[in-house]
Amino acid sequence: MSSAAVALLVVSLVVVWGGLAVSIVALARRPERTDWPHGWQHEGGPEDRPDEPIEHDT
Amino acid sequence: MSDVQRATAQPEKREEFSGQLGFILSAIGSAVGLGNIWRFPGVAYENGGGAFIVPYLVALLTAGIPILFLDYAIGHRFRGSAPLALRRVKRWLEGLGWFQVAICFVIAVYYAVIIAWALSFFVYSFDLRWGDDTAAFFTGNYLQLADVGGADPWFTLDFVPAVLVPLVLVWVAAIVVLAAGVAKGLEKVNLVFMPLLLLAFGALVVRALFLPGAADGLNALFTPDWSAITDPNVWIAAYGQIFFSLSIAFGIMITYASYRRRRANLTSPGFVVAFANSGFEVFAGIGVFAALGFLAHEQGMAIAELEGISGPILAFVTFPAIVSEMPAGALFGALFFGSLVMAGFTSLLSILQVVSASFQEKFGWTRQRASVLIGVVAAVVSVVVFSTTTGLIALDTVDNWANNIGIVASAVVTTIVIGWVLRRSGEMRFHLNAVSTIPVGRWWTFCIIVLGPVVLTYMLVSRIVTLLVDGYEGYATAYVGIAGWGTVLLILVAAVVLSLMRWRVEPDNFDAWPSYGGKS
Repeated sequence: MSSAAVALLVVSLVVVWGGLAVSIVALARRPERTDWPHGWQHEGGPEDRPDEPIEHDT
Repeated sequence: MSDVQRATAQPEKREEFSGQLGFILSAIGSAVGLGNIWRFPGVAYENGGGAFIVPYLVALLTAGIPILFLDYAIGHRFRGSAPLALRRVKRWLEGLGWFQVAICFVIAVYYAVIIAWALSFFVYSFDLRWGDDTAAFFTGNYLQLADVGGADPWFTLDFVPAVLVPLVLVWVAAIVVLAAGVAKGLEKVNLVFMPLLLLAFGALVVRALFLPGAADGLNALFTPDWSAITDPNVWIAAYGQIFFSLSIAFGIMITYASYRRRRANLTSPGFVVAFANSGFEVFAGIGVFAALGFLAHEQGMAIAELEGISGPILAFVTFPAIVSEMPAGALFGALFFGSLVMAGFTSLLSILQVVSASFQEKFGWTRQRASVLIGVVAAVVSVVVFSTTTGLIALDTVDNWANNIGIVASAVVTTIVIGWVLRRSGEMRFHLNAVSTIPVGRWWTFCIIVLGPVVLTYMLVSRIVTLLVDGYEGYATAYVGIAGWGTVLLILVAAVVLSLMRWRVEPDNFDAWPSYGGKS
């Protein structure tokens, strides 16, 4: 292989796979926010709805 | 309002991916498809070799990732597949959603056929059934192509059992997975197939690197032609490759993002998906060109003299020839075609999920009903049009129009409407930044409202002009009119009809979260 081809092979791999590695590290370090906007705290649970002040009929 | 009243006012609970990993693997499974294996290497080789990496990366960062994020924002904020989510952006945008659904339906019916071919060739690998003349085997023995060199016949109903049987199997498998649901079907298949694909294809690439002539192949792929950087067509090729490779702008990523919880990170997983897709592509390029170098070496030719270095001919004519020459060819043939099946099937599932989800949402169908009804109708169309002796020419034509006209038009309309007509790019950016850990800046808005529409509109117009002036592949004008432009017309008609039909489930009882008060 020519030196130019080797250089471009290495650069392509480093940039694309490096991008993947950096993305994975960034995601692993901070998978989700901790400061969510108000609402939807119970999504997926039995109270699957926006968090609003609940008015009870008495 | 009482709790009961409030509870009944809420729509039925939406399906969800089980978590971030399931979403990421499913999105990668959708993006990594046949194009990564058979399209990227040839496009890179013909557009500057090693120098192609420059326009390719620019296209990834300025069009691929920004439009991917736009899809995420629409689907996640407005909680629906394309028609429902876009209707919630603006009522009349529902039509664009159905346009995307119709594109998905059209693509699914021929994409399944290619997976069926790969399934057949997976089986043929074990005894290298294609023999010495792989071209004659593919088009003659296997596809039994009718003579389409003249004008007759352009369409037959002569079914080819060797295609029909695996095609039916592909459809049955797809229906079963879709009926099982997002978390228990789609996600589970991707959790198994994605690591398996990496292993199988990885073994193939490593083996290819140690074949005689592999270095010549890599030399051909990576030697830079820097003059290509100044050629606008090379840049268009790069944007086209990124655009078609990432599964963006035809409803898939809108639909997938809608199956994430509201409190879910969008941009960071998006970067992982985009770079994984490109990483696989570059990896595939190395494997394919190392193998092509080996073939050239065995045949005493230069790489430049080889034919069939991309598309179905690469996969079903050139690769069988390579496999026949390789030591332990049967094993590597099985790995290659097995990889094609896995890469293709996970993409097919994502395409079909768009259609299934849209019908569930609009007509109140259960998941099982939608999967079976849509799967059966698509399977019948797929069998009638593409498993016959004229299937290949139909596939080639429909694919060209659905992708180069349909998807690109969909992207142009989406970016222009969101960015310019409705001026909602600010809201989309707000949404991405409200739920994600990596914020998107003004560069994202610029890419969505300026760069994206300009590049995509140029691609669309130049392709339309070329098709109108030069025709396509020398096919008869009447055939191209019916199978090509007719497909686009059919997609448009389907979009209009489906938009006008009545919703069986109230679509507009919805508040986007988090609430947005700003202006774009």
